[in-house]
This record gives sequence, C-alpha cells and structure tokens, in this order.
Amino acid sequence: MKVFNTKLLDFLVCPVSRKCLTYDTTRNILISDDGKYEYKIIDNIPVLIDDELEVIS
Amino acid sequence: MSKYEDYDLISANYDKTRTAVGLDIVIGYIYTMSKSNENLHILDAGCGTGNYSLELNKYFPNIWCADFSMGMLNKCKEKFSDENKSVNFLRCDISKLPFKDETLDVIICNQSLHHLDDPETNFKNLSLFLNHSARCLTSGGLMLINTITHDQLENGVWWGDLIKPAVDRMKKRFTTDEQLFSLLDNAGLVVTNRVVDLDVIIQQNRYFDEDSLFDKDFRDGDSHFSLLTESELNSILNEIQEMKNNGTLSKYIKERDKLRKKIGQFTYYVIKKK
Repeated sequence: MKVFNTKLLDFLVCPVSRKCLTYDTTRNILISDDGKYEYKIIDNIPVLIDDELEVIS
Repeated sequence: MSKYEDYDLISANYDKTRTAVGLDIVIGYIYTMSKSNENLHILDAGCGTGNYSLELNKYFPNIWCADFSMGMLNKCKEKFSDENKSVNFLRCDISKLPFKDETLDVIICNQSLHHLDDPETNFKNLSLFLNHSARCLTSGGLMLINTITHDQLENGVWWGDLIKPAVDRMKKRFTTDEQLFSLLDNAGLVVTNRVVDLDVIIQQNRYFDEDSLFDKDFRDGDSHFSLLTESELNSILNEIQEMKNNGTLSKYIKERDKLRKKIGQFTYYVIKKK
C-alpha cells in the first residue's frame, strides 16, 4: 500500500468542523483535530464526505 | 455530487464524447497570475475524468482533482498514471470544500454547477460552493467557471429545439446571469470577464453526425438527455429518423447551427475576490 502523503494535510480541513486533520498511520484514516470525525482513505484518495464519516462517540 | 446523473456508471464512457473545451481560455487566464507556475495551487472542482487537469498539469505542477464520484476519480487517476504523472486526488462534495482558508490560488469548475442542486433547493449548494471558494482562494486568487447560459441551452446545439422538455428542465438547474452574479456577489466574488469561444464544439466531430443521437454513449456525454422520459426520448428519435428518411435532417442541422455559431455552446466566467 502506498503511504499517504501527509503534506496534503497542510491544505485540508474536516468538512464538518473545519478543524485540521491528522493522519492515523495504523488505521490509515484521517481524524479531525477535535477527535470527533474520522475519514477513510481509499486507494490513497482521502474521502472527505460527511455522509460517509465515522462519528466518534 | 450530481443530483440526477450516476457518474460512477458514466465514467466508463465519458471520454468518448468529452474533452477539455476552452482549455486555452483557462491556461491564458492562469498565466495572468502574478505567482510562478510552480507556486500556484490549482483546484479542479468537479474534475470528472481529469481532462482539464491532465492538460493543465503540463504547465502547472500543483493540482488538486476533486470530485464526488469515485468512478470519475478512479478513471482520472488511471489517466494520470498512464502518463506517469501524479497530482492530488480528493473525494469530496464541492459545496463543502474541505480546504483551509486562502490556500488555493485558482479554482476551476467546468460544467459542474448544474449538478449541485435540485430545482427545489434554489441553488443552495451552489451558493455554499461559491462561499467556500471565496474562503479558500488566496487574495488575488482566480476562479474560472465554465457553464451554459439559458440561451446556449436552447440554441447552442442543433437538437436544442427537439429536446425542449429537457431544456426546460435544465433551465431550472442552470442559473441565469442575474442569479449567478447575485450569488457571486453574496459570496464576496465578482465577475471580471465573460468569455465565449464561438468555434469550439463540446461534442467535437460527432456533433454533425446525423446518427449521433441514436447512440446512447453519445447521449450519455450530454446530461440533458437524462432529463427526458423514455417516451419523450423515443418520440424525439422518431422525429429525427423521420427527417432523415425524408432528406430534411441535413438542412435542419445546418439551419439550427447558424444559431450556435452566433452564441457558442458554453461561457467562461472569470471571477475574482472583491
């Protein structure tokens, strides 16, 4: 699996909270800095869609 | 996200009928930016299969390809990979652009605005997209919107009059100039120029082909046709077949095309922050 380019996170925010995103290397997901939202990375493409996000309870 | 087309399905045949029309307009305006090409960050919002980005990437290295459809993005990625090129890919809803403030120098949006809203939402998602675009653009940033005016919807293709029910439905999905200018104004954006290339035909060589509309792949390249009922489509195809049989179709196409030559098929709006 190709490693996700974390430099992209200099540009991206969570579409819901507008918080910065952090890359979780173990799970290969993006997490909003408030810890509330998770986004998948599919085939190395971040999927920043709130309908498909995982809300962390 | 298109409200009426399944672009995951259409992505397979999309490039049979579509290319980066008006590309010289896009490149020309980006070249007017004060930053060097290497330092420009360009977003192709609603990139589809990446026809524009692939060409732009020959001059500008930092491109983001964003689309809601994973099918389109995969096709786009495949095309970049075939040319040993790489840009940034992102799946998102462009009405919720997930970029930080003032990070993008250029936002291009080609033939995508009409997919954002259903008629009853009164361009709410388009308004959100424009607000986010204004937020994400750097000061001095540039936005280029390629869309179709109501006049071009009616008369920019020779079959416009034949598919009138679809054109009428389309008009509810495309803003008038007045509506677009008002939405831009509310977002803090302003149109600085409006460009129409009268010589470019979106459908290319097959536009004048009398049989083109009988080909589903060809029709899939034009989202008008998805707004026709099956019986409307059949009745239109019958009408065309009848003209073909009695030898009047060629003349009909030539006459109708005189209107296209006057108004063009699409319009570029050159937009800046106020």
